[in-house]
This record gives sequence, structure tokens and C-alpha cells, in this order.
Amino acid sequence: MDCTGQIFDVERFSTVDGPGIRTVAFLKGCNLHCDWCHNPEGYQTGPQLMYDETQCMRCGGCVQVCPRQVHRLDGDTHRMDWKRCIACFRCAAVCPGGALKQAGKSWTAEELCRELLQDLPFFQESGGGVTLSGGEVMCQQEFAGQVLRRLHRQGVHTAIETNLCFPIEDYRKLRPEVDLMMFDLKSTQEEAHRRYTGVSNEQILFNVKALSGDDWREMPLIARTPVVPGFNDTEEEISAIAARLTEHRNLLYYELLAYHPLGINKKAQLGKEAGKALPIPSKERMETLAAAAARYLPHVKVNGVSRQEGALKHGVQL
Amino acid sequence: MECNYERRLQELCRRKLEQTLAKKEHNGYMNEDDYGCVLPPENFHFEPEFNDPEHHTFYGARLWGRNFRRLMERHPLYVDPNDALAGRWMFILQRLRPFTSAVSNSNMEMAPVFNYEWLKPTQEKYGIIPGIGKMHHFAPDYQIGLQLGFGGLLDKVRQYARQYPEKAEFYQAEEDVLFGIRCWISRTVDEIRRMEREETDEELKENLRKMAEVNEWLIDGPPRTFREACQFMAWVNMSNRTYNRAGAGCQLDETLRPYYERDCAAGILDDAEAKFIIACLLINDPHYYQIGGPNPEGLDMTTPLSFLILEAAHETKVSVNLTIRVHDRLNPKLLRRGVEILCADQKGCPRFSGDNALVSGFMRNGYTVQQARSRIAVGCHWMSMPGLEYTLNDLIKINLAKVFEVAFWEMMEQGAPSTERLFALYRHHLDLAVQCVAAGIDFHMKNQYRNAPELMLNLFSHGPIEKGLDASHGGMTYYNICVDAAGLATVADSFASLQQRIEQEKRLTWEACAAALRDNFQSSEAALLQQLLKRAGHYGHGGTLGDEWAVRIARDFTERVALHHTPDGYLMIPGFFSWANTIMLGENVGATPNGRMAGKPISHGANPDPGFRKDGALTAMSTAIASVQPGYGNTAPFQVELNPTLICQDDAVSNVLSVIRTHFAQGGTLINANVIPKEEILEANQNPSAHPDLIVRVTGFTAYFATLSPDFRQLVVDRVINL
Repeated sequence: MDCTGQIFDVERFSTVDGPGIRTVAFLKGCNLHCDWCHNPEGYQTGPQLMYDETQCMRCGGCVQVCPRQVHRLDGDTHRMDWKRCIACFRCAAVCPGGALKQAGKSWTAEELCRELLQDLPFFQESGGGVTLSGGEVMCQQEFAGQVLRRLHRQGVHTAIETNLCFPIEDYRKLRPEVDLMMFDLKSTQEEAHRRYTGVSNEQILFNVKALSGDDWREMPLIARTPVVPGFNDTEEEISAIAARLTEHRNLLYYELLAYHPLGINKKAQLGKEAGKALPIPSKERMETLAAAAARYLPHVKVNGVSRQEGALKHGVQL
Repeated sequence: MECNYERRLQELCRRKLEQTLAKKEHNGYMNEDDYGCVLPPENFHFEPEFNDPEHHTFYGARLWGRNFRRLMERHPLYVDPNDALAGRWMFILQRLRPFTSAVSNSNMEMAPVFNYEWLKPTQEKYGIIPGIGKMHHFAPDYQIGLQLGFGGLLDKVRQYARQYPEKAEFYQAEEDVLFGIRCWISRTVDEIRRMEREETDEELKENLRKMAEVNEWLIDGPPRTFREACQFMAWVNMSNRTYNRAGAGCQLDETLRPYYERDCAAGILDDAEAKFIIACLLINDPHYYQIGGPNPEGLDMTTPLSFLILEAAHETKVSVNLTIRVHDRLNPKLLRRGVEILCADQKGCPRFSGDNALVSGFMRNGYTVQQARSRIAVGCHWMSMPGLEYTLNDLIKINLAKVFEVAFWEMMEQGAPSTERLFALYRHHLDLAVQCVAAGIDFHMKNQYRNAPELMLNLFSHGPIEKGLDASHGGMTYYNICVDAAGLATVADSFASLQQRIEQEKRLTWEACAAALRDNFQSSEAALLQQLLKRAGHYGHGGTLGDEWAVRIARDFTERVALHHTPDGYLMIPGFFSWANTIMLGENVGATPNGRMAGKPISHGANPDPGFRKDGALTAMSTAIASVQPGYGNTAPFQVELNPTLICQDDAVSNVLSVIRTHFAQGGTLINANVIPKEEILEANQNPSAHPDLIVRVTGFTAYFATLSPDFRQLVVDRVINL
């Protein structure tokens, strides 16, 4: 039976989520709640209301249709009582400027695959494919499995991006439908991990170890670390992460991704405490950290650019 | 002697930048190709002779030839001791005519004695740029000149003049043109000799000595060496520009290959010198050249010289218009190198044209595969068989947004509005617009030779001299007139917005929509409605009503143009291209139901409007543009703004290559690409003069960003920041 999943975005022409030209589906729901998350609209499994104040035209359409009096126009100010919202999205349906939006929509596997396959000729030409991301893809395992199976039947290369915080058995079940596994390893420090992501890293570290085992040898891996100031942006931490990846003969590369305050605005749009933006790590800082990782690993990337190739690009005139 | 080509090239490029800034300072904003021209000395003055005292202008072969010759005899001289080639051009004779007209600000219309007033109301009603009286925009065959030289061309003209004494005026005008060019070269030789005597640098002195020898020979003789061939082409290019701005080039690698191979075999040329000479040719004038691509038998024409040409463009870093013809057998290394240079230089060069769709499309007009392969990319979106085909490429435009506007208000006046009824009315008015264009083409073909004959391009075509007939009047072998539509996305999105918001969702009424358009979305109520209209399913998104309408509109336009001849029997070939006219064409169109405000630019070529998808996916855009191709051998370009972040990634070149290959496999015909960092373009928009070397591909042509008017700069900025 065709099951349904909750998707909050589909992005075409991605060149950073696996090889070649890819389409990425962002699945809702996540078991981690990282402070710096780019996609906080992916936390919850169900659909959520988002409100972008900059797009609001103060028309009052939402006030009229809301059954729960969530919206109120106070002079020129649109006020919202988020606690009263029951996510019926009547307001989003009438909002002319797109200020109120529904984040997350229900798709059947068939519908989603039809959407994901629009760029099939580009996948075939570039060696690309489809990546399931999130949120956390493993929060909708059954749905993800169906989608990946359908894509495989079409000969499409598949990848998943995961926080690796699910039982290894779950990954084993999905393994036949996955051609590339991209996973995050955010910190080796239990306490810091718990403080910044809301959960322990015990399962993740266990899985990282497991992925170096013989039964995973055929699965290409890409490990990534979001570099977040104050959390893991030290040479010691990056070295410690890299040191845990040295046994993985199937690791294509290790990538450092610089923190970006993209999620701050979105949190505010979800009616949550936005928090403060952290400074974006400098190029120099990222290079220092990458150099630390490169002492353990042969192939390190920073924001999509290989260290070796990056050095070449700057040093050699084409 | 050791030659320091690198230093000399740097010096040439530095001087080029100074000239660009000086042109902007003197001429103001240009909004067109750089063309390679330089400013004349301030005290120079030229007054053309005229035969229309009322409008103080001239027309007809006699005065075109005579004025050109007089201009050439006085043309200021330009020699740079660092350059391999002599000369720069400074004037466009066509624009020295003093009259102005309603449609063109560049004096490119027919002289007023040729009256087509009866067409003007319809042209105005439908926003038609009729192309009447416009010149060149077809490809010469350089081989004719390379084989004969200017002396040989003169002999040829005289030979046929004896054969057709009744056409004395035509042949005399052609002679005047050749006398003028030879005089210009001859005076330049004297200047080179003078500079040679004064030059103290040994390398430059030797360069000037050779330059003088080369040019002395070319006054009469056909080029014998690689350098002579390039210098000859430069004189032809500069003369073409001076006569009427003609900018079509040739298949550059194949044209120069015999000279290159012969000189290399004789040991008088090496790759370093060849590359330097080509770089000088490219700096001299950004003519449109094609490299790579199939020969008539379908075999790839890529040679080592094709790579040298690319490398020369790469090293100059000036505005250059090279097109790589992508076909199934193209040397993949040439394509890859082209993409590498596009990404590394960020100068919008090279461009890429799609052979499969162009060839199969042109064959639908009844041409053989060999003929279709010989039809090359030689302009913004010009396709032309060199020396054989008269095309008026890129000169005739129908503003679909204006046609739509007429239909919309007529429907609202008549009542019973619906999108189907609107489409029926739109088709009716498009029919009238196409008929008006066809009548304009016939008028042009009847009169142009008496207004402004193609005295330069006739010399480099097969037929005009032999038959004593101007290229615009039966001299050429083939006549395939290019008719373009502009505003595709504006109209497709307008239909889609109306259908979605009024008919499907019933969130609006026709009357409310019409009121908001009349109000130009000024009132707060209308502004809300504008947002609703703007956010309907756009063309380019994939799977939307906008996409469906775009295909429907494109097919309809194509059929209307391609399946009909003009009353006098000229074939029309459809394309989707707006050149740099989106601003001008938008000025006369009121608010449209896609949410566009009155007077704002219409959409660009076959491109979706910026913001067509949140992710701006090039793949979606590629698929959309491929789906609206007219398919008769002319282009509907894919104008791509590549994100510099993408360009830095490991697999950037491979991914861009994949987009190019897939677009052409989908049926695409031409790709114009820019790579511009958002920050740089925003900064340059604030302070253009601080970025004299920032080059952007505006449409088919590249331009120095600093020379564009604020409106044009904003258009480019909007495309880039919407990535």
C-alpha cells in the first residue's frame, strides 16, 4: 500500500547533497533539536504554520477565517497567539502575500516520486539522483523506504542524510534501497552533545563504529560536521571526530560545514524563541579545522570544496 | 627575438579598460555590445553628404558608397605598437544620419522618403519592432575576401560592372567602398612607418616593421600568412562596423586553420604568437565567432586552433563573443575547457549552441542536413549560412504582452470573460500582428536596396556582385526572415494567474482583476490582489498552469509564423528573443495579470521571470525553456545566471557541463551564461565606475556593466540576486 509522508520542501538542482545534480526532499520530524538547525520547520512530524512578518500586507483576511482567534490586527501590527493555533491552515489559504504558510504537506510515495523524477535526465547525465534529507529521514522510515524503493526501480541513484541517531538495525533495513549514506557526527562529547542537540551521542558513536564493520563495507559513506562556534569549533574536537572515522574504508570524504544563522529567522516564523545568531566561522578558521581533520583522513572538504582542490583553485590560474 | 606577448597583452587590456571608461564618460550609457570601437579625436568632424534636404539625411547606393569612402579617407588612424594588428574603428555611418524616428534612438530606420505610415498604427498597437530599414544581421563569407584580397574584390566588382552597365550606380558604390577601405589601410601604413621610425623599444620596433609589411601587402593582395589573414579580417570587421555596425563573424577555427597549419609547417609561426595574434583580433572587435561544431558531413571541426582561440579569449579577459557549437561528435575536451573558462573568468564567455535541435529544426524548412550544419551562430541569436542567406536576425519583434493587453481589454469591453475566450481573442490579434510584420518584411525587401544597400556585406556574399543585386533585393541565394516573439513569460503567467485565481479557485472576479489593472495595483485592495496574481503557478516552476500556457502560447506563435509566408512569398522563421528590448517594450504595456506593474519591463526572451521557483533550479528552467523551443532552426536562448558558490564546488565544471548537455538533449538551442557574485554586482550597481572590468552577458551580447544605464543594470541585478 502506498503510504504517505510529510514533506516540507523539495529542492531541485542541489549540488551539495551527494554526487552530481540532485533533487532533495526534506522530510518532517527530527529526534534531535539542534540549536543551530537550518530547518527548524523540520522538527515536528506534522504540518506547522509559519508567519513571515515582512510579507504581511495587514489585510486582515486571516483574522476573518481563523476559527480560534489566533490572529489579531492591532493597528498596523499583526499579533498572533500561537498557543491557540490548531494548524488548520485556513489563514494560510487566504493570505495573499504568502506571509502565512503551511510548512509540511502530505505526499504519497507515488506523488513524491513523480515530483522527484522531474530532473531524471539531469541525474542520468551528471551521475546525480535523489537525496532524502530532513528533519531526519529516519523519523519516517517506512515512507522513506517506499520512496527509495520506487526510485531504485527507475534506476535512480539514492542517498540519505541522517543524524545517525537511530538503532543500527533500522539502517540495515533501509540499506538495500540506499546507494550513499551521508551522516552527521557533531561531537564526541556526551555532555555538549546533549546540551546542544537535546540527546545523547551514545547511539551515534555506536553506529559510527558499526559502519566501519565488514557488513557495511559496500555502502559508500560521507561524514559531515556542522562547525558551530562554542560547540565543536576546536581543533581538539574536530580531531577527535576525525579519529573515529579512520577505520571506514568506505568513507568517500569528511566534510566540514560552517554554521550559518539561516534557522534563526525561521524559528521566529514558527512562533518560537529565535535565539541569537552566532558568528559565522571564518574561512581561515575552517581551514585550520580542516587541517586538523586532514591529519587523520585523506580527503577533507570544506563547504563543498576539497581541501586539496580548494588549494589548487586558489594557487593555480586556469 | 624574444617576444614578451604576455606583457604586451596586459598593456593592450589595460588600454582597453581605459577606452571603455572614456567611452562611457563621453557617450553616456550604451546598453549594447562594446563593439571594440574607440573614441575619435575631439577635433574630428565629418559631415555626410545628403540627398534629403528636408530631413537632412541620405539614402541610396550612390551616397552610401560616397559617404563611406569620404569617411574612410578621413578616418582617424590608430596604431598601438603592442598590438599585432593595426586599426580601430570609431564611427557608424548609419548613425551619422541625423534624422530620428519614433521607434529607434539610433537612426537605424528607413529614410523618411520611404513611407510606411499605413503600417505604423498596427505596429504601435501590438508593440511591433518591424525591422523595416534595418541593416546587416546576416553572415558574410570571409572566404571570398580571404581568397581575393581587397584588390581582387575590386577587380571582381569592375568585371561585373562591365557586364551590367545598367547597374553602374550599384557597382560604382561598391568601388567607392573598396577605395575607401584601401585608402584607410594605406594611410595606416604611413602611420605605422612613422611610428616605427620613432620607436626605441627593439621588440616593438620589429613588431611595427612587420605590421607595416602586412598592411602594405593587404592594400591589394590576398592574405598569405596567419597574421595577414587576421589583419585582413580585422579590416573587414572594422569596415563592416563603420558602414552599418555589422558584427557577424565566422567559423573562426576553420577560417584560420589553413594559414595556421601552413605557417607552423613553414616554421614562421608558433602557438604563442598565434594565440597572441588571435587575442589581438578579439580585442580589436567582439565579433561573433563559432568554434567547434560539425562540418557539412557531420564530422567535428575542432582542431588545436579551436583550443588556441579559447585560450586567447581566456587570456584577454575582455568582452568576447565566442560560441561553441555542441554536437554529438564534439571533442569533449573543447566543451569542458569552454566551461572551465566560463567558470574561471566569469566574463560570460563562451556561449554554447545546440546543434541537434538547430539542424533538425532548420531542415523542417526544406534544407538539407549539410546546409543546416553550415548555418552557424554569428550574433546574439543569429543563425545564418555565411554569404548565402539574408535573415534580418534579431530585428523583428512582436511584443506578445502588448497583443495580450489588446485582447484582454477588448474582452472586458465585450463581456462574458474567460481564459478560453481571451485566448481566442489573443490569437486573433496575434494574427493581425503577424500579418503586419509580414507586410513590413515585404515593404523592406522592396525598398531597402534603395534606402540603405548592404555595400559591405555584398562583397562577402555569393551573388550580389555577380548579379548586380543588393543582398536585400535578390542578390542572396536564400531568404529566411527571422521573426521573434518577446514577453512569453509575462503572457503565460498572466493567463495562468487568471485561470487559477478566477476560474479554478474563484478567489477573484474578472471585474475586480480588471479594476486592479486599471488602478496599476495602487490602492491597498489592488495591491492585495497583485500579490495573489503574482503568486499563482509560474512558467518555469514545472507542472504549473504557467508552464502549460507557455507551451500553448509558444506553439501557437510558432505555427502562426512558420507555416505562413509573407504575401510576397518570403519564409519567416520564428524565435523567442527579446534582445535588450525588455525595458523599451514594457514601457507601453499597462499592468498585466501576472502582477507586473504598468511600464515595467516584460519578461526576457524564453526565460521564466525571476522568482519562478524558490530554489531557482537551473534544471527546472532548462526544462521549461526546452519545452517552448520554436523548432525551425532559430533559437530561444536559455539565459543562465550561475551562482558563484556553485562554481567554487569540486564538481562545478561537471555539473555545468551536465546542464548544458541535458538542455541540448531536451531540444535547447542556445545557452548564454553569466557567473557573477551577488556582492560584486550589488556593489557595482552602486558604483559602476569602480568596476570597469566587470563584464556581463546582458542577452546574446556581453557588455561592460559600467556602460549600462541604471535600468539595464537593475535588470541584470534582478536576475542575479534571484538565484
